[in-house]
Order: sequence, then structure tokens, then C-alpha cells
Amino acid sequence: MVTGEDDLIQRAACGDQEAFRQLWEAHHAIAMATALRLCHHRSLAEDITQGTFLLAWRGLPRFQRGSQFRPWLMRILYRHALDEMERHRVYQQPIPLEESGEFERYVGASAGSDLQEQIAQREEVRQALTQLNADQRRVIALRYGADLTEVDIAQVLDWPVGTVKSRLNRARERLRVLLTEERR
Amino acid sequence: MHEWNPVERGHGEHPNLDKRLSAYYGPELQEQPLPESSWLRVGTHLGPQRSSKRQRLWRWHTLHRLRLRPGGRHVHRRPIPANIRDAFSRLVYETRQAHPVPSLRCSFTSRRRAPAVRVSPIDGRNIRLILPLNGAWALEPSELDVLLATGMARRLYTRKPAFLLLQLLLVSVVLFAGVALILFGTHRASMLPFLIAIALCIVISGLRHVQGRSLAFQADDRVVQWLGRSRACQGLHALAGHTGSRRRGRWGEPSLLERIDRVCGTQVAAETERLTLVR
Repeated sequence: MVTGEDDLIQRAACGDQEAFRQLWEAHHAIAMATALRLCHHRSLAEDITQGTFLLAWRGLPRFQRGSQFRPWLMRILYRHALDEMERHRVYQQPIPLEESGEFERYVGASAGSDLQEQIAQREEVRQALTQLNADQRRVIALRYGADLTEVDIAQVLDWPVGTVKSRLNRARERLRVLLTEERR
Repeated sequence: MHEWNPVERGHGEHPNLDKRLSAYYGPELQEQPLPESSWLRVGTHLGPQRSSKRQRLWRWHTLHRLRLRPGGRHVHRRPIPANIRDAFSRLVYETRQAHPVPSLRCSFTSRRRAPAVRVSPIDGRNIRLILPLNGAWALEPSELDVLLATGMARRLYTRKPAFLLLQLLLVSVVLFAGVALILFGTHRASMLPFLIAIALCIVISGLRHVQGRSLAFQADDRVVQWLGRSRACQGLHALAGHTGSRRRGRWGEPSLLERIDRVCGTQVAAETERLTLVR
């Protein structure tokens, strides 16, 4: 059975920009939210979203018929976002204040001092993340920033599951040490 | 009200690492719609859709033969993006380019990952800007200015008689070597002219390499005059961010590191390039 989205994908794969625009309309907002959660920088998240859709456009002729579009798009987004975050050295930049405001909305901001402490803790984690190597940061971002399982991470990064597990464990161990040292 | 509270209180000195990492990334965000301009930016860079393998082969043999360059680089010619066109017009005006006014050609290639500018000594009017297919929109203004100004400056120097003379000499010697080789093959003529031509080719190529580098450095000095040192520096550093600052440049051209060293007096750390893993 051909759904509306399948039809749009087929048309877009043949070069129909209007069909691709409809795919953009349906998926860009969630892609942007995912990118923003990963990188915390609105302008970079917008660039990542746009870049993802450009990559998706180029990849559409190879899109497997009958597969779901969003998971495919998200895999492209994760890979592209991780590359862009490393390229822009995003972990070396403090989280912008407006994104902290976004954070405040989510945590509820019951007490000012609590919020300050949570922001300070986030900053500690960011600084600890800069001490990891790029591959460790990638698994951490996908595990905690995208809530992917180890099997999903292995699919996205095209690594064996065992490699994902070992890198994740090493990254966690290193972070535990770094954050403990920070506390002292 | 959202009840999400990432940091469990009461964990004492060692709050749970998983919770801290989850708190760092925060909860799943609500949808973040982008403005219409965002789609417009994407829309202007969509380009033609890649066709099936059979269609591509057919095109390769017929319609698109001229687009394929040695080394199999597929080059797409598309309208020049508005921001590049505007920057070019502004620079032509600001740098008071002499007649004939340079014209800009822009091509997009899927194989390149860094933007580049080329000027042909034969067609001295055109400046060719080569952009990676998926990264054209990410050019910073200073980077774009440096690329375009470099093209304009190199165009001025490639039109100088000394440069043209050496090019002509190189072409003549290559032709001479070809003729000598044919004569040797068909009439069993002496090998000496061919060997002399080859030796001359090597010498002239060496001279051409030195001249090319000198021309590039002179052009960079001109770019500094036009844009100012800080903007030129900023643009070169941004370019280095794209290319990953290779140690060696192309034949007859200095590397970006050398150019940065000369223009800014500082080097950039070589950065590992990472591929975007889209299959």
C-alpha cells in the first residue's frame, strides 16, 4: 500500500522539490528539536537541520521503498550533527544563555538557587566532555542526547555493538573520574 | 507543568552519572518550527536529483560528457547563489577592477569538501569559484570575500606578460616533445631532440611552480590591501577550517598554511577532517 508520504518520497526522489518541501514541513521541526537538544546552540542546530535535509535530498534516490522516512532522516541527522559538533568544537563553547532559559522552562525553575546549581552542573559536564576523545563524545551524545540504545548507536555510527559498548563504558568511566575530581 | 527534574537531590557528593548526563542534554524538546527563510535556504541548494545508475551511464556517454573532468569529478553548474553574487559585485566595486570587468562562474562538485577559486591564463576574464555541493551555504562572509578577492587578484597577475610567456613556452616545449617523439617513432630520427624537450619541460615546469607560488603570494598581498589584514586573516582561517589545513598545496600553489603564515604571521593547528557518513 502506498501512503501519502511514500508518494511524496517517490516524487522527491525523482526531483520534485514541492514534494520535498512537504517532507520538510512534516519533519523539520522535530529534526530541529533533536539537533538543538544535541548541540544546545540554536544557530548551529538550524544549520544542522538544513544540512540534514540537503543530505537527505541527495540520498533519496537510494531510499529503500517501504521503509519509514523519519528514522532514516534521523540517522542522517545524528551523523551530520556529530560531525558538525566536532567541526565547530561545540563542547568548547559555553551553553548560550538563551538555551539555559529553555532549560529553565523544562526543569520548572522552582527555586533560583536550584536552577543556578543545575546550570553549574551542566557546565561541569560540558567541561568534562571536552576531555574525552571524539568517538567517546559521539557515543555519549547519542546515548544521552538522543536516547538511543547501544544497538541503535551501532547502526547510526556503523560500528560493531561491542565497540559501542566498550567506548561507552570507557567514556562513562572517564567522566565519572573527571566529575568526581571536579567536585573535590 | 513539566515535572522533569534531572538532578536527583540527596545524592550527596556523587550524583548519579547517568542522571547528570541526561540533565546535561535535557529532556526531549518540543517541536521547533523554523521560519520560512530556512526552507528557502535549503530550497536554493537542492539542485538536480541524482538519477539511477543506468541513466547516469547514459548521460555520461551523451549529454554530460563535458561536465566530467579528469579524475571523474562531477561538476554541477547552477545559478550563482545570491549571497555570492552580491559579495562579488560589492568587491568589484570596492576594489575598482579595471576593464574588462571580471565575471564570476560558480560550479558545485560533490567530490570537493573545501571551496576553491581558479583563474585560467587563457580565459583571463572569468573567475571560477568551485564549491562543495553540500556546504556552499555554510561559507562565512569573510571566507567568501577572501576567495573572491584572491580570484580577482590572481586574475590580475596571470595576465602579466611574464606569466603568459612561461605558459606559452611550456605548451610549445610539450608540443615539440610530442613531435620529436612521433618523428622518432616513425622515421627512426635521433632521440636527442626528444630528450632535450623533456629536460626543457622539467626546467620550465619547475620555473612555473616557483612563479605560481610567487604569483599566489603577490595576490595575497593585494588581497590584504583590498580587505585589510584582519579580514583577510579571518577569511583564511575560516578556509583552513574547511580544508583541514593540508601541509602541501597543489602544484604551483602554496598551501593554506603557508598563506596563513605569511599573511597573518600565525599558523593554524592541523585539524582532523571527518567525513559525513551518509550512505
